[in-house]
Amino acid sequence: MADTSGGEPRLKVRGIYKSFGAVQALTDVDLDVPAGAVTALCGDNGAGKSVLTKCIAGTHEPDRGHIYFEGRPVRIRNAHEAAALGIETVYQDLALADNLDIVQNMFLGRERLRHRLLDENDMERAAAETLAGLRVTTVRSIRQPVGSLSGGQRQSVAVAKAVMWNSKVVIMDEPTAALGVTQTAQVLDLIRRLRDRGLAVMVISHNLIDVFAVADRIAVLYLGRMVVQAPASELDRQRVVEYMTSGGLGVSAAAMVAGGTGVQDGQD
Amino acid sequence: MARTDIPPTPGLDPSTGEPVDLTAAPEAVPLVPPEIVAQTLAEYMQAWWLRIRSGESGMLPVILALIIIVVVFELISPNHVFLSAGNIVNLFQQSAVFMMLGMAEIFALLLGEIDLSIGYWGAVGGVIAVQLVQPRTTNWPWLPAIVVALLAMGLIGAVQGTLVTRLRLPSFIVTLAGFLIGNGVMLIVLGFGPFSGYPSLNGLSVNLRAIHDLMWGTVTPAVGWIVMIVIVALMGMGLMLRDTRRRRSGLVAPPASLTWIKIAGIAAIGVGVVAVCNLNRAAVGTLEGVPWVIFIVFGVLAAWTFLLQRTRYGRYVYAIGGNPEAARRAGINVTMVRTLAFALCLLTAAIGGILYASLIGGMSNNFPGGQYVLYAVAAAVIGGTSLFGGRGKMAHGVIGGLVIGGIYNGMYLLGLAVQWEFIVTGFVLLFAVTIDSLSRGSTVGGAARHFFGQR
Amino acid sequence: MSRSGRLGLVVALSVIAAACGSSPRSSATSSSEAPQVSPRSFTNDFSAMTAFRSLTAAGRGSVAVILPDVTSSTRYVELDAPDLTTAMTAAGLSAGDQVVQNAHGSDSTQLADAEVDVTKGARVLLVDPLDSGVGAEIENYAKSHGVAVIDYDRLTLGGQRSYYVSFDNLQVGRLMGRGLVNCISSWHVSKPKVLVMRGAVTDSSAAIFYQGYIEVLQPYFTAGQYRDVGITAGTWDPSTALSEFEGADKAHPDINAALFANDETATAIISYLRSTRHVAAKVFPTTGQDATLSGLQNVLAGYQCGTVYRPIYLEAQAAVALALYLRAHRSPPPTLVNGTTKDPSANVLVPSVLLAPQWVTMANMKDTIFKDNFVPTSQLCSGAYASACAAAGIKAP
Repeated sequence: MADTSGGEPRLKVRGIYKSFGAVQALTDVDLDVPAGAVTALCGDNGAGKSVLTKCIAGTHEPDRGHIYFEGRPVRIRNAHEAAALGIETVYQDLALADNLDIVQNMFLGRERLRHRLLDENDMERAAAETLAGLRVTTVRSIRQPVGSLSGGQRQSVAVAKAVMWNSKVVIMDEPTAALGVTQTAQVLDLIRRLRDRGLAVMVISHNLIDVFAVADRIAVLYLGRMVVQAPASELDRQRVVEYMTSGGLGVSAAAMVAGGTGVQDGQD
Repeated sequence: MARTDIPPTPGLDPSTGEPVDLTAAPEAVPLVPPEIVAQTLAEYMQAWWLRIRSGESGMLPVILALIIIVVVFELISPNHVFLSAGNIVNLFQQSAVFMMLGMAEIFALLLGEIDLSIGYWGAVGGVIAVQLVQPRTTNWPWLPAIVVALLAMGLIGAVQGTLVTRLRLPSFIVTLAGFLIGNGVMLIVLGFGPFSGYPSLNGLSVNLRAIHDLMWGTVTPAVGWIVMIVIVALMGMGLMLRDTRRRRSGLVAPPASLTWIKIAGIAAIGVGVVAVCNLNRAAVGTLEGVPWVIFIVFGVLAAWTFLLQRTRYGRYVYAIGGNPEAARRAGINVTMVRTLAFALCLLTAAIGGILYASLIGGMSNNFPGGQYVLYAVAAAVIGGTSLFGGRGKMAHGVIGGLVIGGIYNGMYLLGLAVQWEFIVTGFVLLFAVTIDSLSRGSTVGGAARHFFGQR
Repeated sequence: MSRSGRLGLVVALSVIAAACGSSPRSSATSSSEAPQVSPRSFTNDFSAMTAFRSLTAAGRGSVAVILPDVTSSTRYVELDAPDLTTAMTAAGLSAGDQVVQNAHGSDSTQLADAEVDVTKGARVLLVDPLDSGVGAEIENYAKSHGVAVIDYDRLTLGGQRSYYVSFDNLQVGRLMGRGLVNCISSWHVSKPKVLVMRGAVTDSSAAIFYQGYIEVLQPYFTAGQYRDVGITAGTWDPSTALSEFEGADKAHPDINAALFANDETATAIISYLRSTRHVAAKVFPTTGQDATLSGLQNVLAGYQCGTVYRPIYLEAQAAVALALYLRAHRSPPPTLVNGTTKDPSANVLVPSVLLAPQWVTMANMKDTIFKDNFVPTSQLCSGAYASACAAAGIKAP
């Protein structure tokens, strides 16, 4: 539960370049993800949000650049190494097996054993504790198959799965994308609780209402470049939209003056 | 099961005063296994009935089907011989091959794959064992012969599994090729030796007798009772121990009366089987006792159930069947798990092939490999295993095999031609798959995920 | 359930036995009930079977026949099944006591059929085993349940059957040998150079046929009257047989007589002889076996000396007669069980009913094939063969 003391952010990336064949997905990207705070990563489709996330999560390795974890430079080659550091990712599809129950999903790949066999009781207790700690209470039984849960409950399970493992950084990809209003509130609440526990939370989202509801810092990617990283208090929705769609502020004004194409000035 | 954004509807659930969760899955309530939330026997029965009504009926349809088959055939078979001791033992023997092949197929079905080659490769396993023990040629002792047959087929299964996992070839095609190749290999291996394609298990050599007795040999009645009592006692103790440990850990355990009922049920089945087998079923002399094959089937059932429910490997099989991408991201070695599953599939099929050879008294090129694969899939599905992966138990293969064996046996008693057996089995399979689909509610979701989602 | 069922059965049997006043275990070999019958007694009108009525009445339980398949030959469906049924009915066996089944080529079906027949109360099984493995298994099962088994047409090697019913395979071979010898002299072949072909070496019957015809031919070879051109590898497959003949022909272009193993292989080679060697009728003696349509037509046309005809109705009646003895717990008379067959696997001699095959040539075709309507005359005498039929005295319909 260590708080950052205002010094090094828990996770820091500097100068990340990543290309796939002829496509340059990321160019010279820097990002800070401090502990005890929610950092939102925004950007339009194709801006490079997932690629950056996957570089941090270990699915891809960047071509150039450095990643620093708690101040130390690290190389993250696969999901195992990311998990070993304490970086957990909750993907948009949640990566839950619908035919298994909550306990089995939460411990998937990392089961607890007793005499080389699955220790069901121990795992069940630990899972129950974690869910209680996150105040996930709408689930009737943790032996319910995950396929029978609502969207918000599944999201909660996925998040609980991520935080069980001494995680220090939790990355969530579009956590509220497919949820209704009540469910969204549940999940945002969960995110705040994670922050309060001292984790470094990074949320990727399109939904600026949710972003401004929960984020402490906002970072915007535009065509593979990081165009702004600032505390949420210094930004508003309109400006974030401009960053997302044109990569800079005042471009629309300048363009109108120069008689160029007007950038759409819409909400969301 | 994410839902799209719906307009907010203010509304409180009148009974609880909490906001109505409009996005909650309607099946959420009934799908909870009743043993977890029930505290008394009455609550358990209520929850169980609710679950049945909502469609999640588990093995109930197949058990009902079995009861219907037994009752119907007993009534309409000539002189009501269906339930005679001799016929019931014949039924167990005939079903044993279907049960074993059903269990083999379940390894593939749990992954969401299919193995069409278990018929012929299983037969090759049988041929290898039968050929190796022939006194005129190789004259091997029976145990090494069986072990070699099982390992050889396990290896072939691993090869098929590797083609499916590493080269990403569809399992349907790989195992279809295996079906054809296996058929050819079976004929080739049958041709070895001076048996004109029909090595037989009929002879006085100890090794021939040993394999022959897998199906036809029995234990003495006394041994049958003792073993049954020991097994029931062990299972009973295991159940009680599990409940006690749960309660001690502070977890919810099913009501004690329920566990006693389960133990009583297991004991009833055990007593029934042993009692029937111990009746003298020979008209001349004595023929009594539990046949070895029943212990063999039970042993394989116990071993594979243990593997699937209590080990990490088994957990990973279910995970891959449910969501291979999630399994991969969880760091599970998906390749190894799937390859091993295909290997275990053919190894179990080889056991089935050896049992078939034992039943028929040898092997010949009259083996209907294609038919037996279909029976294996039918047995698994009738028993309750899903074709889309992730759901099923080894017990399904055993019960499904019994259903198919029952239909087969009953129709022979009625003197119906083989054509009708095919037709009736086909209809039973359709019926079983329909029940499976209807009860799963989200069939469309399941099918869609299966074909478009997860590889 | 079964215990009370069995008790009821025992009570019923004792009552019936008491009422009938005869012990079911007598083994009288000759009484007014058991006709002194031999394989020669049977005819194509099944009339001999009526003599068995009282024997049938003295027996209990059903007679179950399990035929092997429908594809290796049409005989099982067209001849064996109906003939067996007719024989059983003529002998007075009720419909409920007759079971005729076909395993459709599946071992497990043949075994299941046998098990079910025994469960339903068969007293005698007549089995034509698909292979010796399943045949032996059926015999084990039947024996433990007190049911007698008769091997029909095929012997289960290493099995435990009580009797074997079949045509005398050695006699078949002899007929073929003698038929060739007669033909060589009647067609005036000087300096015969004879090729001997045989059936598949994996078939134990083929070996016995061969034994029969070599027995007849060897003295002629030894005396130098015929030149022995050689023996082929052996096959039942017509295209393989043709290749074998072509090979022998290239090596010895002067072959002028040949013993072909059966009608199917003979047909293939005869059409080669006609088209490529331009052999005329009644010049190149050949033989065959099975009396198939094409074989008989070749006989009519003068390219094949004759063929072996096995009247299935003889086999069916003899088997049923034997079964009725066993069903009534009587020993069958030695006139019926007229021989033994060696089972090389179990090294025993199996008491057998050996039936006499017939050699059919143009001379006696009318009295055999035509009389029995073994092959439909309309098919036999069609087209080019009409005149030959007329010459043989066979009236085309």
